[in-house]
Amino acid sequence: MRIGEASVKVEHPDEGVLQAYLDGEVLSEPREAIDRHLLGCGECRDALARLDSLAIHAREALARIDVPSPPIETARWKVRTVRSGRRVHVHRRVAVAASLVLVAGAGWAAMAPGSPFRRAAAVEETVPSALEAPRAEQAVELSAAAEPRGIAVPPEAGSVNIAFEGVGAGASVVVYLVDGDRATVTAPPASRFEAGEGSARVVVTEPAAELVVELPRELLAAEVRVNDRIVYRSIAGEVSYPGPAPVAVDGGVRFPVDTP
Amino acid sequence: MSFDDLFEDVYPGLHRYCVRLTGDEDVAADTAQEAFVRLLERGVKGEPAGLKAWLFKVATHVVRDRARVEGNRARLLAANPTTDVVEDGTVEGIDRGRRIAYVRRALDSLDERDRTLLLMREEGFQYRELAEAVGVEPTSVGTLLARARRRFAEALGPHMWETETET
Repeated sequence: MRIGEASVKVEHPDEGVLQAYLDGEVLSEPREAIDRHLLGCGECRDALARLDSLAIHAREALARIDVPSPPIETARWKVRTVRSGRRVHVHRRVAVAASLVLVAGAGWAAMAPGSPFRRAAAVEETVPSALEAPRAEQAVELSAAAEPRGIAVPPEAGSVNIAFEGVGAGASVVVYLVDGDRATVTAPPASRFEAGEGSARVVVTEPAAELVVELPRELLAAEVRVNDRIVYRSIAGEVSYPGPAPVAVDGGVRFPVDTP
Repeated sequence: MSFDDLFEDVYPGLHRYCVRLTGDEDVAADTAQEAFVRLLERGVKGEPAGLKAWLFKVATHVVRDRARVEGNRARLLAANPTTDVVEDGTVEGIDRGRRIAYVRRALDSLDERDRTLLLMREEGFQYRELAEAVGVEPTSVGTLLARARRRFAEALGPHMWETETET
């Protein structure tokens, strides 16, 4: 609510009215009355200048404690991951290469076609009834279809293998290290997920998808493949990137996918 | 407007607000994240401005709840005022750390209503939204905001007028 005519004393407006005037919260008619008053009242002009100075210096002082915001993409991904029912505790300053110990090859044979994967219990993105009805055309629809889906992959003998198939050019795979005892995989909602003990296969149908893998820090083994090409591998604590060179992102590494 | 657009529009300001409110970068990131998670979980819909206000309100509540659980942060800061703000051992780093500590202590000295008004106004909220956030009449916001800024300035003392270039 803006300050209306009834609440404005044209004779020496009080501090609250002057503050509202300064902040552009006074309607045009009383604003004009205050304008006229200020023309003839040095006392109120001084008061207004003091309020203005306070606001400016408060803004400058607050700016001293600001820090850069995390990358939008990473922050948004974390929101969607948590929304999918999984708490993520990615420490910003942990290098991916720091803590994984790998056991090569474990469990990968289980990924072969025809293996008895069970259909993963992927989290369904349902949107509960709205607390507030949308209004007009500007309303934001929090579309369930826009959110990725995820699966959890329990390690087998300390090993996890993740395979993405059908990944198109322009997509990217991001690997994070997280606390916890299960790996997780997140992909666009139309993707097909299959998961078993220690391994998961995700068939991606959406181009330019962002695919996310979280690997527990304490894993003994981990491997990530994209279109049957290894992009991330770690053996006995030594991480290697046999595929395209990764790019460091906030708390993880991103692998570009240049060929389908 | 899509969720992605809303996120891109609101997240930087919400994160800045949370940093200023909590004085802790990690807590701020968690808090901003939690606000958006709740937005999705509850399927809240509305105009972008209303959703932005809703997110800030939730973040404020999350910080308040966390403070209740973790105890009096101001007391902890008073016991160890600069360990989390001195960025390096250089003169410039120590000087910057002290400046930050002054601002944080001044913010901590405000009561919750003053702090919320001061910080939310900096994020561009209108009086109507500020009034709703702190539970007062919109016509009182000007008076309360002026008072909050004055208290902040008093708490900062001469440090209010310092600039980054001063030594």
